Amino acid sequence: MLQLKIDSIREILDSIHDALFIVEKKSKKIVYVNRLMCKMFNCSIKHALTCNISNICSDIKPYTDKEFNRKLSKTTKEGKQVFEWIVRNPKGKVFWVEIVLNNITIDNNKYIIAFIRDISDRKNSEKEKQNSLALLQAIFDSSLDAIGIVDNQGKFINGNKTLLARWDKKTKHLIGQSANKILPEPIFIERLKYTQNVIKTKKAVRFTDHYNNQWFEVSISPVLELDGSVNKVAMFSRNITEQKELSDKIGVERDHIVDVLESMSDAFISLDKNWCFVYMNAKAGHIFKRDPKKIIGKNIWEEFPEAIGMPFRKYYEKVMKTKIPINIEEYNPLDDQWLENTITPTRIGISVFFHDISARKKVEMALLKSEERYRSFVQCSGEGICLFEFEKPISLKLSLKEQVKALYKYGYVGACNDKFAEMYGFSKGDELVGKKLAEFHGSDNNPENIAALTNVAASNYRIVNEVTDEIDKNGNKMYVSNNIFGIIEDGYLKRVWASQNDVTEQKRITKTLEESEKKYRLLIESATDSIVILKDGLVQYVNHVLIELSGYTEEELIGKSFIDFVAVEEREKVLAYHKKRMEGEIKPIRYETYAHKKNGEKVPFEIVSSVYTYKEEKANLVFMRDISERKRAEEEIRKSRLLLRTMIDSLNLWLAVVDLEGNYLIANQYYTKTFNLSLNLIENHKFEEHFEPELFKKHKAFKDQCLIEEKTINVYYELEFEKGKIINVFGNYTPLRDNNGKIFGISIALMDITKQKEIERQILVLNQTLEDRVEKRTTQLENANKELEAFAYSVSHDLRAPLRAISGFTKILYEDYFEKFDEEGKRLGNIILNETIRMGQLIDDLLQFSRLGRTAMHLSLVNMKQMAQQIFEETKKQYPDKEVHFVLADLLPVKVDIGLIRQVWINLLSNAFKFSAKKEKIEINISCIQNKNEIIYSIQDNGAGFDMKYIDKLFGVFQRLHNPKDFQGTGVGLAIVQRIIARHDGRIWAESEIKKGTTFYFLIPKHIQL
Amino acid sequence: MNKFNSIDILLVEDNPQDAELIMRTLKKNHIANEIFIVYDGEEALDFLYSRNQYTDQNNHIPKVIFLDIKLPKVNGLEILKIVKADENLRHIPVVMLTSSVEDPDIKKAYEYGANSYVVKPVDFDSFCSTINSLDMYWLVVNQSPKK
Repeated sequence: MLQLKIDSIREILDSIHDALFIVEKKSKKIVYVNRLMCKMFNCSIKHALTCNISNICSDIKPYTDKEFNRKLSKTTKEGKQVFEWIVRNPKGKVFWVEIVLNNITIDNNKYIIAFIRDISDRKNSEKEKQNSLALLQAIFDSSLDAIGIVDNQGKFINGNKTLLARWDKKTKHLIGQSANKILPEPIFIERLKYTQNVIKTKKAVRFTDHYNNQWFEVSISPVLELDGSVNKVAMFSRNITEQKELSDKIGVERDHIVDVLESMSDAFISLDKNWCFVYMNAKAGHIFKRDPKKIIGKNIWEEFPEAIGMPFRKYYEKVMKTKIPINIEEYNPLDDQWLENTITPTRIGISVFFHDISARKKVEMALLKSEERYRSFVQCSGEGICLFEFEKPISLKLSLKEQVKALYKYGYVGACNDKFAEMYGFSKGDELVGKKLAEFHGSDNNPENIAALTNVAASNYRIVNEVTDEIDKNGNKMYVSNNIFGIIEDGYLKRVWASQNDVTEQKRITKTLEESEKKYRLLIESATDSIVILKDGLVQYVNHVLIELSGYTEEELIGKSFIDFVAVEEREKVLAYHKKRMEGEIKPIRYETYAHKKNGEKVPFEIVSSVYTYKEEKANLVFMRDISERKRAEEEIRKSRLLLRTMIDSLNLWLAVVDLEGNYLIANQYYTKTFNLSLNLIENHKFEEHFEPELFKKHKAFKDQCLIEEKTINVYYELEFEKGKIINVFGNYTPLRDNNGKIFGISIALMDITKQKEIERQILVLNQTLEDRVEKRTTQLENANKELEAFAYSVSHDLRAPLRAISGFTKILYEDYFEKFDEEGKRLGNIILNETIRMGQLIDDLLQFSRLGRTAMHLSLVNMKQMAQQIFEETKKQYPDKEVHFVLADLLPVKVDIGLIRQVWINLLSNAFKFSAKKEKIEINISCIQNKNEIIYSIQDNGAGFDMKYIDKLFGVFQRLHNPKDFQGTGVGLAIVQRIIARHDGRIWAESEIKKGTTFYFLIPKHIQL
Repeated sequence: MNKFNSIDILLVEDNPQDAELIMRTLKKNHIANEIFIVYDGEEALDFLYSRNQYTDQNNHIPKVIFLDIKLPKVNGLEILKIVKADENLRHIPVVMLTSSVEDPDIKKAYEYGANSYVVKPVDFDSFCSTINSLDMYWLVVNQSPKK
């Protein structure tokens, strides 16, 4: 054994491939680290020695330092430990390691030695392996094919989900099972044979088999072991049942098509986009002189270079390009063959059917030749001849409508001569050849054309000399005489020969004639008057108006002598006119007469008769106008004229209407009598003639004014009408306007108003006298008033003085000689005193009363409620100890003299209080009502009342209805009130019941006329 | 000794009864000392101007004149007018003491410069109190200019 020194040992330890550290068991400190350890943990030796286990362990459970310590303990107990761990280096990097711990004793100290190997890579590759395994497993399982790993006995080692699904067995059951259990015996044997073969040969095989009506495509591949040996296979099994069925079907159809193509009498080839033969049937092989089988895939143009220039090549290319099928006829000179080529596009290219039409062609050729002969014959004809042919014959069993449709659809010009073509505006017959009916004959929508053709069809295509109208090339109308001859075989219309002649010119002439005849007829028919045509006095023609009017039928009128219908009394006149007419009177004669209706009724007519030529002979054209209405209107006018005349003649005023020249148009009787004019011949006079120059001047002035101002002029003037007699004339001149508003005359209406004037004058005079009288009265009244004033003044002043003296001296007497008076004396003295006071009151009242009549009233809107309230309160003051119940309603304000109305309230309220004072409670109620024009105020008390018997005396001056012993008063109060109310145009009244109370009503108009 | 020197009231009243009543009332109250009565307008003027029967007096200016309107010869309003027009007399307060309640009279009186217009009441008691009030006012309460 080699003896190792410490340095060598260190070297050895440093060179080993693992990191190493030694931990002292007792202290758990790291006492030795090797170089790799330092490298792994990126630290210096010095530093490492200061570390302990926790420095290298991570926080990731269960790889913590706690656990590590446990591992250390385990090592002590059980010996060598090998485990994987996650460590952390000082940088924080965390990685997988494999740690080997072992017990070791050095110099009698127990240590644990740890080997650390970084297994990060291993771990990564493990992971990758795991991932790729998982991926493989996913692929394995997701495959749609059933995959089974089978050994050479046919037992399943593994299988994918699809396999399992197919056999509906779980993995556990599958593994170890022989495939025999799942596959039918023959299939199993077959597959096992393949399997064993594959294992032996190490070569994959593919085959299909089927069982249970399912088809499978199976592939078996060897699974190589690492050593290159094969002892199992992977069997892929795909269910191809559907695809098989499909391709079988296609196969069958394909065979069917080939049969058809081969058995056809036509030759058939199919080319792809590159012009290579895809197919050629036997017949085509014959035509092309090639072997069909060998030709497949060969390019046609390469095979048949001579075909490149041939016409059919162009068509083949067209179809290839446009994908639109074409039919062509083609001559094959090699075989002297005519072939009809039907070229159709296919999905991959084109295909062509060849039909031998050589025989047909030969016949056509022959026909063409004979046609030439006939063509020239037809061409020389003077008439337009046309042979109309059909793409397919038209069955006569079809309805006419259908036939016409077919004519348009299939018909075309087979041949026609130049003449025919010219008729439609073409120059040569050839231009028309091939054209369909609609192209030269007129649109197939045109109902006229359809009708014409329908007619042809209806006549079984035989028309002789019928005239129809057509349109030529330029669209102009033309008339054609037609001859149609249709060739019919076995119920089918094969072709039609038509010859036409232009008869337009003749037609035009006839038409013009017809039109003019029509015009005249129309004129006669649309006339509103009756028209009669007479020849030799006999009726030749009557229009419908006359027929209707007369009530006769046409037969009853034609041929009759017209005079028979004329009213008997008129006949002589009419005949005379007629004679005149027939003798050559040029001017049409107009006259009125009467004729009879069938029912005998006489109708007034206005006749105008003239001579003219009718059907080459001389005849009478007579217009008869029914003038019944007019006659009626004339009668009306006559009647109203008469009425008007009567009216204006009844007027007692001069009425005349003159025109602008002064001629009379109308004058009434009054007028004509006055001026001694003849009423009948009034038109012969002018109003200037019979007027006095003075009068005339006046008239002219008025007339002119009226015309200038163009409105009614009112006139008034005085006139010395007769010697010494002056009359007053009043009236107007009114301009008269016609329907256009133009003035054509003046209406003059004048009245003699002398009498009225006189009356007027008298009235004026009377008025004047009245005025004077009134003035006088007023003056008198004013004087009277003045006197009264003076009187009142006197009264107020002079009467008081003695009154004062009486009162005064009586008082003095009383005072100075008081003791000397006995009771009686005192009483007498009192009476004197009281009476003086009373007299004073009387004087005041009288004064007031008299003043009432004189003072002016000043009206203003007064708040009656407020005033009543105020006065109530003032009056109440005089009765301080009385209980008063006062009801004051909302009183309407009214326009009155405030001062006077105040007096009314004072007096009435004062009375109310006074006469109710004896009752226990004074009750006063004031209210008002209104109607349209007035307001009525009422004041009610619960006082003594009065006997309604004396109502008339209530308002009398100084009149009293009560004893002064009971109630004081002068008896003037109410008189004053009444006077005031009267001055307001109002009324006052009262209702009362003795001992119950009194209600006074006073009425004031809302609008006082002073 | 001039017995007219200290006239308090000049009473111009034509009605002797009224005059008597007034005098009595005034005397009863002892307010006015000297009262002089004239019974017509002309005499009133004579008195004020110290002429005719009153020439032997010095100018006597009463403290107040009680003037009735209805007077013989010269009526109250005319006297009022003259007095108020006169420089020497216009300062004397003039009280119209009259029965007339006629508005034109009242108006005129104030126009001419009456100091007061009083209507003589009919009732004696009222009459007395009216007089006394006048007396009290014009002679005691009212300040007259000192001559």
